[in-house]
Amino acid sequence: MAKQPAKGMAVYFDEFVFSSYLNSTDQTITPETPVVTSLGDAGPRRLMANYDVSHSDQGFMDTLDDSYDEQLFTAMGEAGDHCLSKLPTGIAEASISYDSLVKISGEPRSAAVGGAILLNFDSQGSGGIVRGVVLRSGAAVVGNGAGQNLGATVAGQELAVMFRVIAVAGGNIIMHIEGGAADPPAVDIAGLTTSTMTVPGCERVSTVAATNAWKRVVTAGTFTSATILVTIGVVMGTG
Amino acid sequence: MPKQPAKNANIMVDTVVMEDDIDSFSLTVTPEVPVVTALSDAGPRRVVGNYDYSLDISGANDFAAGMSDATLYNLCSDAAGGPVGVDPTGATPATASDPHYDGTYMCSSYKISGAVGGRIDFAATLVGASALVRAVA
Repeated sequence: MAKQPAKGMAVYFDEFVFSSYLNSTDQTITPETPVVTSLGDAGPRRLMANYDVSHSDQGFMDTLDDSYDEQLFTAMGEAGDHCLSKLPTGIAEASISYDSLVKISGEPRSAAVGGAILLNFDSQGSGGIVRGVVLRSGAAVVGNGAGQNLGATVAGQELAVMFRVIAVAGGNIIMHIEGGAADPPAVDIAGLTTSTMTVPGCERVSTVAATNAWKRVVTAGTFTSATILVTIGVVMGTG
Repeated sequence: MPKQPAKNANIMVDTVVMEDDIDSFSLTVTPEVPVVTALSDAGPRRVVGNYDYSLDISGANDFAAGMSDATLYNLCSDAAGGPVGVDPTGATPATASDPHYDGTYMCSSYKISGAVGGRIDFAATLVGASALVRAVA
């Protein structure tokens, strides 16, 4: 692994692939570091507290039905949180994935003579951020995915999974995570499961129970074809 | 010791060598200098109190295990902060001319960004959480 060109970066907003609309993307984590320097100290003293997350993404408007413009406009009016994932090295399994829950704070549409119409959006964190990995991606098939050694988690650490169904046809799809001390991991991890999904969408679930090092995605359902992206990691600030 | 090109500098964050990812850094020390000017003074008068310091670093991000991305992300949730060393000359402090600036820092901001035609960048602001030491031989 080396330094990366921006070209390979993947951006997913809910179940939508935004990488093909965007030409620039930022993600900023801002920890609170209140100063607690006393009169007797030499140099500063600080505490590490909570943190905030913000995103700024710039792109080109696409007004095609059910496309970027409509997706963002619809999302802005929704009360719930949105899944926003940024994958600096792409979506191959085991790639790094930053997973945020966000609310949209602005989406300016702008145009000027000689230029393309722009559609940017800013979003603010509305849940803990995860620096995780891709556990499974691409075309889904019923059965067990490959196991990955992600390291064990201890009780209290929040292990979060972002399940994305990017496309599904022919029926429903259900996914859950199995864990184990060795490969293949075959013990269901309570709470890390999707609903019965019949349309594309994103669901984030988590557990604070201890888990073993190996994990895999198990896919079931009546679907005839589906495309998925499943990312997993520990929520920042939970241990 | 002559003036130094930036190329010589070494920066270590949480024991991870970072100068192979960093292309720009700025260490800023900000002393408190409260004004104590009296009515009868000509010009200002100040006293020196404590100080603060911060380190801005930026460069091309490396997402491999234990490299710049993982190191900075982990520092952003490290309640104890982490040791950071700024070594302007890149040399062991064998003499008084090879200072190492060492302190414990916390992460105040960590940004990942990318744009068409460019690389994936990082920019981080680390803030002091201990005394800053200018170590020399």
